[in-house]
Amino acid sequence: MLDTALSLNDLRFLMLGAGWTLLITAISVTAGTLLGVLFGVARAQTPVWVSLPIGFVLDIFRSVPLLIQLVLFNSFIPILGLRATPFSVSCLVLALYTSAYCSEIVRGGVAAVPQTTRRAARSLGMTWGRTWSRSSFPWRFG
Amino acid sequence: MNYTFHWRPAFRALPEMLAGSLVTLQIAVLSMVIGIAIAVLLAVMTGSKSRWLRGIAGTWIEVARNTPPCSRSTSPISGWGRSASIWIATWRCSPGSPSTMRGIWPRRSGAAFGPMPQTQVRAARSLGFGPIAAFRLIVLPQLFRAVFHPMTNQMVWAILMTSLGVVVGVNTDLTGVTQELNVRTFRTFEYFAIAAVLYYLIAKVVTLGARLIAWRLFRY
Repeated sequence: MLDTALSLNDLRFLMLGAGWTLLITAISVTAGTLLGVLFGVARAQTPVWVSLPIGFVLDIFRSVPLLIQLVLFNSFIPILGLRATPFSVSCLVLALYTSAYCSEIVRGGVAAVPQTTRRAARSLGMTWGRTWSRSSFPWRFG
Repeated sequence: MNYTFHWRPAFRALPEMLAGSLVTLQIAVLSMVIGIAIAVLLAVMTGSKSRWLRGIAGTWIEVARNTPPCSRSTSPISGWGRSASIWIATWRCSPGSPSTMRGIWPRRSGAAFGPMPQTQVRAARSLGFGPIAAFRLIVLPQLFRAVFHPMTNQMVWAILMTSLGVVVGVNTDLTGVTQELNVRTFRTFEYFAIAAVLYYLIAKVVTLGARLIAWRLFRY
């Protein structure tokens, strides 16, 4: 007869699942944060006709339930004729989802750096990249 | 790509899905109301002198914030139908709200100055306001204004969270209806794409509606 009591074996199975959870989290949060910083900077620094579409697309990720997004992507990828494991689909969706939230945080951070600081850095002869790495980024992460 | 989209049956199911959207909104509103009621209670409890009350409120908030809503809803109340997803969304709302409110709640210690300094209440009391009048006329309008936009955010979250009801067998809300149609037809992409659009529209209507209300309301 089938024994359904919780056993030590089940615990091992659950721990294995927790391991996968951690792995998906690590991948999607890393990718999502990197993408989010990219999108956030783009949204803060590019002209309106670039930043507005980016903002619109990312807003969709924040306005549709995650469950629906997962199901949608999972059914869309075979339609494209591609093969993907549920693992990679969930990593992809979660990364995009994280990046949508992260880009808002980054954009807020960029907005918090006074324009004058950035202008001062440029007047001192720093290049655009240098201004970012020496004044904008430390301000935002500090 | 050799897939044929079948949009027509999906669009024919639109009335059903719209009815589901209404249920989703009902669940979200109800859970917001219950959530806010619990949240105010929790906010008061976290500031209380009794260690027991603080402990209960703290435990509630910690558990609600650090476990996924899916697993919470399946364990105690599987098979409760619609109330299950109200419960999920309530759990999600209630811990968020006290922390929103806590910063604003006038504290006895001067350390945690939110946007509501204790001095205003004292000033009101010295002017002859009773404690209730001071709360109603001085604290509440400012509290309401400060809490309004985070609450809108929380409302959108509540709407998105109702979709998790499908895990415990809710089949009347938008995700539930969509899932029912999906298992009947296996046209997963078409139905869920329409559901996504509907969720997006609901979220936008709520956000824009709240912005309009705020614009009309906060002229003081």
